[in-house]
Order: sequence, then structure tokens, then C-alpha cells
Amino acid sequence: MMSLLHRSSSTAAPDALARRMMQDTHLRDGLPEIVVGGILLLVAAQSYTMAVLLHGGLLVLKRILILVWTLLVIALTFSSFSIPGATGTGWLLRWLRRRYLISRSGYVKPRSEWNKRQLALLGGIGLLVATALLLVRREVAPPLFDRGLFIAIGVFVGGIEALVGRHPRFRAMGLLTVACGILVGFSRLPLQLRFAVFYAFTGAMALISGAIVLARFLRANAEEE
Amino acid sequence: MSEKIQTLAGIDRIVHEPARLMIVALLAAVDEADFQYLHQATGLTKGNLSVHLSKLEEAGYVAIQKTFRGKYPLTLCRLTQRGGEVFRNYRKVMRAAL
Repeated sequence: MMSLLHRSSSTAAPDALARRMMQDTHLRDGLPEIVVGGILLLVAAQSYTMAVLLHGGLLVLKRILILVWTLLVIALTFSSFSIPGATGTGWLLRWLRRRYLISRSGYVKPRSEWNKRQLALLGGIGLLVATALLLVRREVAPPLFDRGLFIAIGVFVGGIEALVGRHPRFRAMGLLTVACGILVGFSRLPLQLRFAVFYAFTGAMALISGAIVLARFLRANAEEE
Repeated sequence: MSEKIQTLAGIDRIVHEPARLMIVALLAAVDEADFQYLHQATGLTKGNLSVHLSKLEEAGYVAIQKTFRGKYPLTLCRLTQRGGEVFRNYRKVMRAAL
């Protein structure tokens, strides 16, 4: 934190510096990455199950299994990445931190950065992108569309990771995500399996990175004590 | 130019001290933080931090609330409205003068 103050104070505006400080605080124990990584691995498992179960005829039992599994993952993903769900994930993170980390790292309540207007704008952009994708899908042949889709997802997710995270580890993960998107896009695997590979890779990466950060965070605090 | 420089004479001396400035700047970026977080973030010793927090509390810039979280004592600190105004004014004066 101190190094951050020294490093950025001469160049950044105070508000930007404050935001960066809060982001550092939020990411310092690796818990957000672990939570996101876990959710992405679940989504990957769902995609993999779909790919395996869809292979061959669809028996009634298979259909029920797919439905239950899909609903479970949709509910979990929605509860984590949606606006009300993000509050739930935030609550989980706060609970974990208060229960296990407060005596080591202290407690800090960040300011809410997102206002309703920004969230509405984000939702609008998402809707526009989804509509554009649907329109493009009508015009472009499936193999070409699927390839472009994975490359676009890789670039988008990797770019967000690198830009929002700002730390070197997020930049590295962003680059690997882009590379993964390109590789998966050009592979000849079935669509569901490609999704499974992409989510599994990004999820495992986030989980491992978060676990390393958490271990280092706990060790550093234990040494201080 | 000299008028701008002269505004520095009226700067708040309580906030201007480096350790206290660090505390106020940190608290301005958050809703509230506890003693342990401030200790880690500023790098000040616990005794030093305690003294500076007391001075800021006396001036009415920081509100301190002592509670418990389970078995652990929790000293919550937040910038008061007055503290926020003083800090904003401090930034404005420094930006204008330097």
C-alpha cells in the first residue's frame, strides 16, 4: 500500500489513486479470484456434461440430468455475476474475510463505485452485443462464426482482466485468456466441449492465481505477527 | 503567483503532518477502516498511529468507534463530514499553490 502511494502519488489524480488503493485492498487476499475461478470451473463442468450427454441419443434421463445441471449452473452464475447476485458474492467475501482474516489483515469497508446509471449502461452494452451476435450468426456460416465467437470472447474477457485488474498477474492472465480463446477457436472440438475447455482453463487459472495470492498473503501476515 | 503561495499559510496543520495526512487520505478513500488495516496500510507503529488518530479525533476530523467482532476488539475509524471538507480543501489549496 505504501509503495503504491509513493509510486502513483506524483502522477495519478487523488480520486484515481483512492480507487486504485481500494482495488488493491479488494484483491490483496486472492479471495475474489478464488470465488470467480470456482464458478467458472462449475460452468466448465456443466458444458462438459452437456457435451458428453448430448453425444448420442437423448434419453429421458439424460434430458432431465441436462436440465437440472443447467438450471443449477445458471442459478449459480446468475447469483454471482448479476447485479443482485454480485451483492451475494460480496456478502460471501465479507463473511469469509470477517470470519477468518480480520485479525490478520484488518477490516476496511470500500466505497461503492458503481452507480445505477453506470450499471444500466453496462447492461445496455451487453444487450447490444448479444443482439449483434444474433444478427451476425444469421449471416455467417457456423464454423466461421464459432471461431470468431471464441476469439472475440477470449479478447473481451482477457482485455477486461488486463484492464480492470491492472496488476501484472492480471495482465498475464489476460494474455493467456486471449491465447486460449484463439486456440479454442481454431480447434476442431465440438462447440460445447470448446466452451468447457475455455471455461476450465480460465477458471483454473483464476483459482490457482487466487490460491497463490492467498497463501502469500497469509504467510506475509503471519511473519508480521 | 505570490497570492497563491500565500494561501499555503492558511493550510490545516493537523492534516498537513505526513503521518496524519496518510491516515486522512486513506480514510477519504473508504467508508470505514479498522485500526489494524490503517496500521498495515500506513506502516506506522501502533503507538504512533494511536497518537495521530487521537489528535484527528480531538480535532473532529475522524470518528472512532470501539466495538468487538466476536472475541476481537475492533476500532473502527471513519472520516467525519468536517474531516472530509478539510481534506478536500487541503487538496484544493495544494493544487492551486504548487
